[in-house]
Amino acid sequence: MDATFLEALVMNGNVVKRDTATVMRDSVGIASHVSVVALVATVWTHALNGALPASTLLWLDALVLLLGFLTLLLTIKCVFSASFLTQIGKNFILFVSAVYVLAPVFQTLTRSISSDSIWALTVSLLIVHLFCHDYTFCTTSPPSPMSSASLSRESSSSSSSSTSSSSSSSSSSSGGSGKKPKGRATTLSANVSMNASIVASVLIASRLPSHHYVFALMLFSLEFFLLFPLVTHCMRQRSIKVHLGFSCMLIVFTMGLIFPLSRLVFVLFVTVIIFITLVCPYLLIRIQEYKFEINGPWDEAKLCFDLD
Amino acid sequence: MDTQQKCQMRHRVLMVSDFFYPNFGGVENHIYYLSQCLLQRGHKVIVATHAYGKRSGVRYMTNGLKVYYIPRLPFIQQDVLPTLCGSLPILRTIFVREGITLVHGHQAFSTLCHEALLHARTMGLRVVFTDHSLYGFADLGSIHMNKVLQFTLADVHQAICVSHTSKENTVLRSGLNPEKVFVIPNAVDTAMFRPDPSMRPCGTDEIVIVVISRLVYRKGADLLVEVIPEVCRLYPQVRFIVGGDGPKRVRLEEMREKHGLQDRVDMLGAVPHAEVRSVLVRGHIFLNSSLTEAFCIAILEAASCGLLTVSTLVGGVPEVLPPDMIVLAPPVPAELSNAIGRAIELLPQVDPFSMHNRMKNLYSWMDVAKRTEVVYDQSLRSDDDDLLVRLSRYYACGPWAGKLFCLVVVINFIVWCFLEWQQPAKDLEVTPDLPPPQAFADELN
Repeated sequence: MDATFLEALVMNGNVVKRDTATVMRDSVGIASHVSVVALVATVWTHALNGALPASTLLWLDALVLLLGFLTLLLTIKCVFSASFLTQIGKNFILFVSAVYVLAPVFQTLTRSISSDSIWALTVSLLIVHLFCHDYTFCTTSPPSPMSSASLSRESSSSSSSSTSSSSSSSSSSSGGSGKKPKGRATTLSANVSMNASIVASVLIASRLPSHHYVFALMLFSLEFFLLFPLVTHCMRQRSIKVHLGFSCMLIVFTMGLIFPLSRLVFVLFVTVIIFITLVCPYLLIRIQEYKFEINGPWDEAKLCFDLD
Repeated sequence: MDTQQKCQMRHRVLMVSDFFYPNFGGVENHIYYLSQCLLQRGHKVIVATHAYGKRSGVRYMTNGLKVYYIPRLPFIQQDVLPTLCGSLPILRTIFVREGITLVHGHQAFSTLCHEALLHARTMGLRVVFTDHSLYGFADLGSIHMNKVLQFTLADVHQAICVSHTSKENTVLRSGLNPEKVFVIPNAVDTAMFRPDPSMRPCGTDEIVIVVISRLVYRKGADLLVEVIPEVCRLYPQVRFIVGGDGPKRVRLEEMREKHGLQDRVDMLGAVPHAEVRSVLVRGHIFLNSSLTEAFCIAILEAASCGLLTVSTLVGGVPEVLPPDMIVLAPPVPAELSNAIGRAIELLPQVDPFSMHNRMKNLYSWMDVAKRTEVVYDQSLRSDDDDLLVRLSRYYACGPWAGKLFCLVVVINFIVWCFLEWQQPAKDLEVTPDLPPPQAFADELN
């Protein structure tokens, strides 16, 4: 055996060391999305129990929409022009009228199906939504989009699978270090997640007594599932601290809403939040020391130019 | 007395791989030439591979090289379906009938090779393994492949790699003791690849650059797309001949259209191995753009034809030729173009025939066979272990994998015991062993 054996071996050459604070900070974004889903589900329960009249729900819709739009106005990083505003207005009218027209259809959609199968289906769809959601969109921080995208993906992977092995973290880090398009790449899982949430909303709305009610609830769900991620994204782009504070407020608010509803669900929710924001980052940091990446002359060369 | 000793030292080798003729490639070539040379040196060599279409059963090739085409269906990329014990009955019959003492498996992603090595160990035969390619560590596919390789190599007597880089790679992948791994580079049939400058464009100062490779990502076809227009722009006297086919061929043709190089870049399509020489001798420079390469026989063939080689600096490529016969550059378009420029400057000093003669001295398959023989002798010297010692070796492969490996080995052993009971080895008909012609034996002595 000669002296040059394994001379060119490089160990952990391009491994990014992560610190607990950053990982925890980024995990709050995931926790806030979970609490959004919990919030919507709470409102659904109240509506189905008849505790929330249709008119109140409509006012709530309008309020949330207004607040969301204001936040967007304050945080978005582009200039507003008249044409842009009319475009938004047009889209908005189209969107609301489509939901209104479809409301009677939604209302009778699942009449022949029993309520408990609807609930079971809804819960599974929401779980699918949570697992497939594109968390990189709402947790990407502006200064270093590359590293934090991989970071949040990693933390999302560790939160979605509690058995986060070193292989999963290595694969996600290699995915992050690879080339990633600058814009928002809509992946298959992100689309699946969005569709799952919409189907879940339709299923729940179809159990309501009047089509006004259906319209109000659909609007509420869609606001939170479709438009809310955009608002949090813009907020985070503007300032991480604001986003962090808002997320914490949202989580606490959701806890307050769930508490009177059911103790068990409350405990479950708190456990999930703690698991995501404390246990997962801790596990991720701990398994980092098992990271073992080897490179050497046998590696396939990477092309340094764009293939297209 | 002398003859008897010679006879004792004769090995009875079975080469096993999924890759053999009628398929073409580096591994196929290696097995064929190695077998031929070992036959010449008086050993008994049999080849076993899976059936290729209607080519099934026993066939004979040049010099009575016997090839068993085992009737099993290829499942993916010419590999048979892995069955662990499924191939034991037929391989055992071949081992016993041919009186095999040593099994030599080729290529890490040949399932037949892995199975044969396991069976050979179960039956207490010597095993040698040759790894022909480089493999990564990061993705799921290679994690699985490397575990399988670890299983097989946990119990081989010796392993052979085609370059030092390949040796490092194999040792890291399989956790094998590096002392057990030998490096024997590939060779080239220099008699077949002779230079012929008369085929070059004469009367002009035109320089022809030849590229022969499959046009796929791993062979750097995308690099060619960047380099060819740049070189054509810098050196108006250069012409390209591109031989080979593959998914990236469309991109190359697009590039040719886009830069209007139809009259300067010749696309030949797939070139059969027998016609490679006739394409090579038309050029002055050979360009290899691979992104990964354990050894690269194509470079040897080109150098043997008297071409100056320009290559990407990857894997085992820098080990292939002495520095004055090759110009190396990192796999970056600009660097590769510069390297071609340097090669064009060097060209007047290159004499194809002296290059060919140097290659003749440097590389020959007979030399590879002699070195492989040493490895075979070495494997005979290591002591044969019983099942328990072998199991302890497998057990050390990992907390989960170790137990799984042991299970596989034990099951294989039980199946072998069953076969021994059902059809004892001594009842099997043995093929008569015909000695080489007397003239041949005299020559050997």
